[in-house]
Amino acid sequence: MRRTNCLVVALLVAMGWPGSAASAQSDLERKVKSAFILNFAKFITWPDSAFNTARQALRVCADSSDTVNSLAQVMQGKTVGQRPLEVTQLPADDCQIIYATGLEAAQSQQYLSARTSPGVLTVYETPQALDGGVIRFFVQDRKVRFEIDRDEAAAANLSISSKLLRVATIRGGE
Amino acid sequence: MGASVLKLLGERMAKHKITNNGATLTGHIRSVMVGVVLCVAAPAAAQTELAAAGDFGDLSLDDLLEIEVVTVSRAAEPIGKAAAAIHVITADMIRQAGARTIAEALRLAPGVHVARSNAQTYSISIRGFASTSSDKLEVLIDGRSAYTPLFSGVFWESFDTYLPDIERIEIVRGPGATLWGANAVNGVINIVTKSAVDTVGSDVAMAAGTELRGFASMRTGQTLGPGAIRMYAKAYERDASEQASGGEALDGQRFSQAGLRGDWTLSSGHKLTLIGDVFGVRGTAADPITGDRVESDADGGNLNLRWSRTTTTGSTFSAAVYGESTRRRTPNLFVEDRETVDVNVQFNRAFAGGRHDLVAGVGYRRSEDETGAPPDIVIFDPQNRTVEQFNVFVMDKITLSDAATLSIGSKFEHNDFTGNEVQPGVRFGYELSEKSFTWASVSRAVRTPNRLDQDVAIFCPPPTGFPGVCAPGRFRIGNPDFDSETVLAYEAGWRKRVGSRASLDLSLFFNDYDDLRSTETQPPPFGSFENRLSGTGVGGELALVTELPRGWDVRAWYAHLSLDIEADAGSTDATTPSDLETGSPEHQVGMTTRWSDQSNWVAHLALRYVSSLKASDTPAYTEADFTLIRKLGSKAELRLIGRNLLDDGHREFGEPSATAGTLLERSAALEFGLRW
Repeated sequence: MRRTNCLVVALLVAMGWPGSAASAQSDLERKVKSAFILNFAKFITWPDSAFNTARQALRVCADSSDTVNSLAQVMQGKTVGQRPLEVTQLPADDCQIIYATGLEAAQSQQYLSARTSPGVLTVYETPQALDGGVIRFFVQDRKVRFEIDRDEAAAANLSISSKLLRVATIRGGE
Repeated sequence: MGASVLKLLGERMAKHKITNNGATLTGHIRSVMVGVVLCVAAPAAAQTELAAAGDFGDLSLDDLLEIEVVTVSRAAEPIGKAAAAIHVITADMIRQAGARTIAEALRLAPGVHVARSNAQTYSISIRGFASTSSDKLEVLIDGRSAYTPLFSGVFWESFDTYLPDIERIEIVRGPGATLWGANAVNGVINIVTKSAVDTVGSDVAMAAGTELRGFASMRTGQTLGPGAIRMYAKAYERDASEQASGGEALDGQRFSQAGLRGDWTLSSGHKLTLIGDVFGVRGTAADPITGDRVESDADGGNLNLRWSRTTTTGSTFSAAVYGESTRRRTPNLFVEDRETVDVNVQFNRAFAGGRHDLVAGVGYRRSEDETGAPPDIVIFDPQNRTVEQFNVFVMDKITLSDAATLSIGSKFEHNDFTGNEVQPGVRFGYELSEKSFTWASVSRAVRTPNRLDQDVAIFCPPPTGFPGVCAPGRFRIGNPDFDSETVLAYEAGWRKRVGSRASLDLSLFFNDYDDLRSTETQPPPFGSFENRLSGTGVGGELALVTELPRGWDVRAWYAHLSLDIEADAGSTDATTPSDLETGSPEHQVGMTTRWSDQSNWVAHLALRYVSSLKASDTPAYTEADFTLIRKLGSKAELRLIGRNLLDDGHREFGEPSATAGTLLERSAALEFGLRW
């Protein structure tokens, strides 16, 4: 959260800058975010209850077909520990990672709220933080950054490695 | 320093054809002014070469963090829904343009008239009223106002920061007074630096060149508790410029500054930011009477503490306090010592299911100064004065439908000079389609009086005063009854995305000014200030941003301005209207082209055209700046920076009626940067 200047915030809020107009992501941006999600899978530990077996695939579910393709390319042949990775389009069940790519809060909120049990990492990218979201992507200085909500992570029973926390913007928690 | 005073004095001198040791007093005085010189961007983040290869699955976190994913067109793509003429200069734009000063970075923004009057001093203005003491802009850095109540302008020579740590510069053309307050008559320049959390690591840069003789800077940041802190220091020496009449001007400068910023997330939603800087600047100046070389100096510091809380419902509450102390001296000319304390509290919350987005705030500022006494030439009566200002503002952004928004609000201010001021504004925004947006606004803003308007006096030293200008004595020009200058601004704009690679941004304005400052002829010899000018400013800005294949992007803009200023019936001011009308350019064109091979090279070419300024006898000019950046591995970078390449020397500005101008020379600098 870059609330450096309250006046700026005021101006932006009052004037609606930069607006929430959805815009297509570039392939590059999609690829980079997909690779980040692979890294999230590596640096986050899920509770045992999130899986039925030790070798069960870690399932990544995303809401756009472009993103599903991008994730599939990036994750091709990759494993996390002993688990292979699997990519599926939402709506789907038994997801360990849910990735909502919409910029509109209402649209993404439905995927984040759909998380009913612990053990699901929710990733999203609306301009503002949403309830139920653990990691939020944002773009700053043309580069992808992400914000981790530690309260949400705790609620989802996810344990996040310090390596990931070190490069993230932290929200909430101790 | 209060260049207006000097301008005024110079005008009087020039009118009387007074010269002193071969140059006008204005010439000397102008060289007293010290301009900000900022420096150099830091090494670029290493663009990961692997990324180009496309094997994203093997990239480390650190690699991923360095990949630039947003192209220029994307950055411009979410057609901004701000119902105002707003432009944002990003950190990358500053770095790639090789800008070394905030002033130079502002050249990247459409419609900002950046004119360098000598090696130290700039005139920076928007939509007219160019002056080295331009008094119609609000300039802020991290919430701290940079203008002095002495003359409502910025001492650019001491307004600096660590340039690579700037996150963005927001420029609002047109009144921003409803939110930003007095002085935001023609625009707002808002500089936001990065959170310390984003500047963990070290950054060093060293440069040498023909005009910038030596430059060194360093920043180091580290995590500290639930956040991070950074510290920086920088120093440079700037060569004197060349006089149009030949010989070196007395305007060289040495500058140093150090500072820190810490950002912490205390607990859920609570954030604390601490910012502080100290600076010292020494400039070569000419003694205002003898013309001999003297040294001016200024130093100061500030400390800024901010706390904010964002609740889970999205409400934001923030409180900030800052103190600032500065001390400025130019021998025999003027002294200003100033202590300022500013407190403000702000609140933002959405109501009615998001239909209403309310922002409100309360602020208080107290600024206490001590100025010089004779034999200084520019003095103030009273010599010391404390000025208090209190303000309240509220603005509601109402979502009328999916496409339409209406912002309505006002600032109410109480100040010691004029009492109560009301600055309301209404802005309407309408989304025509996903690719186009239009807006319109009406707003009122005031430029409240300052020490110059009300209290300035000129001391003419015994035994002879300034022969032909003034007999010995003190002559007051400031008028204790001077009132606020006002503008009623009508604006409209349109933004459109064209295809997938280009966007257009058009803004039009009609400004109706009243009670502008005139200089009446009575009493002699200098006259006095009154609010007897009025007039209109009409114009617009058109900006085009395109991204072309193979790493090219092009930005181009055109700005038009037509000022029509008249003296009211009964005014004796025969010169200020035409000086204002012809003191700012009617036409400005800017174009920047950037090319990057996405790995090791970045080239940036900036062209600018500024039409003539009759008031200061400045011809139209076209200039080019070129920057070439070569990455050396992932941590180091070499930058070659060329400035003003089309002419050996050119003029950009002079105070009206000045005869001696300084030339900006062609220059080159080589810089090495290292980041780890």
